[in-house]
Amino acid sequence: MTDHATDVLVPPEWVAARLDEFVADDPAARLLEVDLDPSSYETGHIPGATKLDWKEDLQDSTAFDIPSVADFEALLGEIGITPESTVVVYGDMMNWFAGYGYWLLSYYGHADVRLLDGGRDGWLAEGYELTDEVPEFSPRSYTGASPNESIRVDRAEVETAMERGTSLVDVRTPEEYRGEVLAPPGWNEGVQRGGHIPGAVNVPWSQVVDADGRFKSEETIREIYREAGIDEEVVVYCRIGERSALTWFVLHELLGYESVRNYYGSWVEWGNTVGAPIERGRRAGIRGE
Amino acid sequence: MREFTFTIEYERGTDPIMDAFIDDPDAVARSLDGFVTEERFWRIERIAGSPATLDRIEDIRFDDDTCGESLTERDCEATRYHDVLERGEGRLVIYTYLDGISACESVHTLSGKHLPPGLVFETLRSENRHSWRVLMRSDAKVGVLYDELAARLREGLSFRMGHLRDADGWQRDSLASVSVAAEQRAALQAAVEDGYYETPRETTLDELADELDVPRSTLSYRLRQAESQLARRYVADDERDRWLR
Repeated sequence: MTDHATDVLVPPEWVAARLDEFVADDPAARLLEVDLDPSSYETGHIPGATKLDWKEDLQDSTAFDIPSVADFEALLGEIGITPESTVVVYGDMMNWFAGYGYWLLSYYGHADVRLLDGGRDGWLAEGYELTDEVPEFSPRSYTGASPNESIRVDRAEVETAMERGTSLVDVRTPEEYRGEVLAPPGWNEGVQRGGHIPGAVNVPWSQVVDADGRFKSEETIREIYREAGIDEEVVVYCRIGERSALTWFVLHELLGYESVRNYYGSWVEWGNTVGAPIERGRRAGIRGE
Repeated sequence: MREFTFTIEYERGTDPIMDAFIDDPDAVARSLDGFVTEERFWRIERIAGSPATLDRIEDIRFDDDTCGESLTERDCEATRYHDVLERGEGRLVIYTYLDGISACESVHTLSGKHLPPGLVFETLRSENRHSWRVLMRSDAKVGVLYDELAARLREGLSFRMGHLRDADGWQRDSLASVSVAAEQRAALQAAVEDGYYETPRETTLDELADELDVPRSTLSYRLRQAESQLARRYVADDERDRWLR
């Protein structure tokens, strides 16, 4: 069981009880594995799960943006998903990139998408079955995707949001938030300037999951954001808008915040923008000092 | 070979081993750790400090209920083996072997999860800081390690980034772990900082003695004691000596 009264977050036993549906060619139920380290999938995955590579499949490196509607529809159709499919997303590292997969599906209006609580590690910890068999489903036609702009913001909208006093949540590490780390090691996500968007509070993405990768109880999470002084209207961001998608999931889907939007351009865009105001130093304020 | 360096800072009361260093600012420890697989690692740690600090660290290491490795809320469940390799005046060398560490969340396990096998770690503990140098064949996934480390530290621990670059050098300052009494260390440090060891000397014993507020004879004695200790340890640490005697 999860500690959350929502059907978008499903526990491992929920998936385990439906494995027959996930391995069947019938597109009613599909599993997607989205890992930070895409090679994890090859070491074994949940039966019926299709791998999506966040770099190859879930972003458009030429446009430096999320995939276009056409690419998104083609991708889902190819792996046997229809607009009516129940899609369960999971991944490594506490669902970090699976959360982004979930957000992207929601952004394009997929009706029934769920996140597996605990992700890949949670499944493994419960000792459930893994396979190295890569499923081959009949391609389907996926149409009707349409962007839901109420869950995404661009830079201009962030500026408007700042003026309106919208809460800004920076989910990067405290060192990046304070501006001490400009170029995170091993990532091609460096920026010209360190710091954060003025007024943003720092609530690192990992604070809402416990040691085994499952989301903390609704009450605990609600308290974390309450102490950080987050209002009902929120913009979340990180380095490139992926980890913040997981925070978007928490605020919007688990806690039911009225308006939560993910700033996809995130710090890579803001920190490199001529004239965009920044703030630095300030202690990481999870306790909402 | 690539190297990734960083430091983890501890608030008092968040880690029993680090508390010993916080309470004894003169104590330092250097370790060499080898990571055999994702399941196990070994470590040789040389600690210099007061006898009380060394006793304290030894007690913690041999107390099987104390983890001493984890960075997160979750304690390590490994099987621990420790042995004292050397115990002398002001120094202690402990060999450690941990088996079954995969459920633990230490620098070793998190590195093992994301970096290629064959890792070597050099670490330095002093006061509230535990500094790490991770040597690796490839840094392809070091970004994930950085994100996981920085994000998952339990409360009271904080991450300071060092650098990521080609590895260069090996145990250049192993002498720093030679035990020298605190007052001798202070004398040496002031002498070096003020240029007493430059040629020509940039300061005199009289000036240094004034600065440290000790009699000239006392300062002179402390420096000679420290120099002789360093010289003898340096020669004893020489490679030939270690292998041939």
